[in-house]
Amino acid sequence: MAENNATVETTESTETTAPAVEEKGYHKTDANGNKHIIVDPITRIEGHLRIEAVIDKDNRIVDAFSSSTMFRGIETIVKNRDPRDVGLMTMRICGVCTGTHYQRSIEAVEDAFNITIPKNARLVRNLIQGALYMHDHLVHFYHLHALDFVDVVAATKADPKATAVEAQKWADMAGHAPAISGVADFKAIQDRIIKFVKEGRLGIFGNGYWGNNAYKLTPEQNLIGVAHYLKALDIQRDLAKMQAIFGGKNPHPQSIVVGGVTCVQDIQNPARIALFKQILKEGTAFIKGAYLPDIYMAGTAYAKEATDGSQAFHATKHKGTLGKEIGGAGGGLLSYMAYGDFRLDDTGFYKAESFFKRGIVLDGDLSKIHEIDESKITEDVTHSWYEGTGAPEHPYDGTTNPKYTGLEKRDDGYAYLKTDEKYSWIKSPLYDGRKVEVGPLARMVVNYVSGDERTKKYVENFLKRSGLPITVLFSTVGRTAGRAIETEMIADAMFDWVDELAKNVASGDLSTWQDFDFDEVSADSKGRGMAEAPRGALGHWMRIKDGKVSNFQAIVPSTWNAGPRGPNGEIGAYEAALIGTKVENPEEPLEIIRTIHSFDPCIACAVHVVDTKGKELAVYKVDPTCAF
Amino acid sequence: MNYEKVALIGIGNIMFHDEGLGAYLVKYIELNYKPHPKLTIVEGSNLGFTLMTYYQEYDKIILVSSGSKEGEVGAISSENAQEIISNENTTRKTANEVELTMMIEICSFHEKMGEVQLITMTPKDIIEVKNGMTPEALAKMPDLVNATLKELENSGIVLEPNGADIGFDEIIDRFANPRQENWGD
Repeated sequence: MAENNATVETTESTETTAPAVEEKGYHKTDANGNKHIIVDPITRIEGHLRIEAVIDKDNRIVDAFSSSTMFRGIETIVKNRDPRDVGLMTMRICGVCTGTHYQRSIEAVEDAFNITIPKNARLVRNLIQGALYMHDHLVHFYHLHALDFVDVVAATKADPKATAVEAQKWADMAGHAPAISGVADFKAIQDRIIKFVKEGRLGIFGNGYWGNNAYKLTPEQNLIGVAHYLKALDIQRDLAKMQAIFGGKNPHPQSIVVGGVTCVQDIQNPARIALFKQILKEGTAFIKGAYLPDIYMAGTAYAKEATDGSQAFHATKHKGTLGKEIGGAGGGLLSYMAYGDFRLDDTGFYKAESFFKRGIVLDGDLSKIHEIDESKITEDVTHSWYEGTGAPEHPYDGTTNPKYTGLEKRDDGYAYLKTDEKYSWIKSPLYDGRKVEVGPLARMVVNYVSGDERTKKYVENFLKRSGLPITVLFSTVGRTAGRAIETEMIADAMFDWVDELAKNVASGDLSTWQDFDFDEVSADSKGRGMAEAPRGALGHWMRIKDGKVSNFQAIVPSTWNAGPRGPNGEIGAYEAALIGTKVENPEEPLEIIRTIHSFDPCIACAVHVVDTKGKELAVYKVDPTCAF
Repeated sequence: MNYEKVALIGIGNIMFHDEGLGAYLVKYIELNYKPHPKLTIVEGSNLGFTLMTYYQEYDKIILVSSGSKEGEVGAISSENAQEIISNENTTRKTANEVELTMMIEICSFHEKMGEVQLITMTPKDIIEVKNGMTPEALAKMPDLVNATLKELENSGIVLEPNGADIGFDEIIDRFANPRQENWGD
């Protein structure tokens, strides 16, 4: 979605004694023609994210910096707790992935205690998480991202009859029946938009960059997008309920415990199983009849940018050792990592076959999958507002000691990130000293390169039906397409999982919990919950001593993606995705917002939180946009 | 005015000191007053997208949260949806304010959207990572209870005490020390 209310400042890139001159909303350019675009905040959900992009005189982004300006955190608050209860606190890290954090903490404890949960528990957990993916991805696309592609106001000019034809066309391409097909339906929606525009009641649509040349859809395609946006509000309501059928409640599910799950009554209740399947069926119909056709539509309309190698990170001076030159605007690092998730058998953590594979693909080399060596995962704070210990730390031994050094207020009145020093509350995660991207596209790439037949079928189906080359996936629109393909894959698989659960229960297996001797296993142990969240790889690491948590660290997806530079200047995933992109209008940085939104940023859960006394943090308390 | 379905939702993260006051408030009402057939009480914490479901499914949604308005600790204000959107400079500072405002904006374009009323209390500290409340904010919680009960009455919901007499100290302690066996009490 166009981040309608984001504060946008464009300022000179170097200090100058010349008075700032307001010129069409941004300051006079410097001698080199470079300007800083500051978008802050860029995410409206779960916190604050600031992007500083340096653009040259041709409006191409030549450098970019991602900063979380909001201090959040968790780690120390769970120390000295009973490890069995840690999930109940860590679930509050994030309002969207509540249940995922809850489960990761519980899995870290189960790993520490060497517990293998029963089959019913595994399937229930898969269903709860699968429901979250469906809900999260759908809401992300339609309500947080679609309007980066869809021009709402342009939809008022659409011909409803032609819109119905257009909707059928994209549904046909996807191979499904359209979610909305009637001329009268499109006309009614268009009338509502026109009424809202006339009354000035566009709400969240009110401050969009409507009319920007970076919007590529036709009026009819825009009307389809808005119609699906509204319909998705109804669908998401039911998908949220689906999470609670086995989760106990939403938010803050409570049915997962160390050793298994507690919803033994629900899995024996045919009505609960039937309700789950009914919502799943309706949600899947919308995914196939609206979400996927819209991705085909957007992918086709934005294919030029997505395949324009001149706008890719690898085309810039930052290329470094990057190998394959694939993708286009927004492609970024081309290095991907997934921890894997959704176990498909009962052989235990990190041994079971999984729906999402575990591995790393480096530098766009689609011929080779690398195994993850967990000891190579570290966090660095060279450019983060924390005291360092001299070297990147593995999360088992991670420390979180804040050291806020502020921003640089210049003569022009703006506050800039000190990008050569510390500039973010997010730490900088590294794998073997390298930056990697995590998330739905990373999962699809890792699965594809791993040779997963299911993934190959879905990805190749998308490419074949759309007529788009595989390189289109390594871009902003490709990241968004990867999420949609993944959503369809999960939805289809969940029918099998819920049937498998019902069949297993019917066979007489009612086991949902594995007993363990807490005193014995909690004396001195450590474990990790490393799997996936909708936004990407999520890890909780825990040390347990004498029945209490002695150390806890979490590295969440947005930390991997939104983190600042590494110790040797390694560029982060958000930053790399922006570099090379050409901006149509610096006053309306739609391309920046579109690319960042394609990652589905969630900043509250990205920033480490400690119990600090550092009251200099009040700087953001007073003004979270950091525009002092 | 009478509504068929009213949701009372406490917003805010209990890990950030006074930010959890909305969660404590709704739990206090849930534990100390008799259930009402038209009222659903939700400890929402940072609800995220799920807030949209309540906006869409209830006729009246009363949100209780910490607020960012300047003023004395304990100052209480009440705004409807239009006022929340209009006053974005004072209702978009913290993560949960941004969240609840954005969800209103998203849902406001949908034909089915309940009436939203946001009651906020000015906290002393929402920075420190700590369960519990500052003494100054805690002392003002009775005022927040009264403001909430009054808004419920305005919505046709009159609650009767159940005689439990469970104080905020005990409620805060429960939130700070959740246990699997008593979660959801």
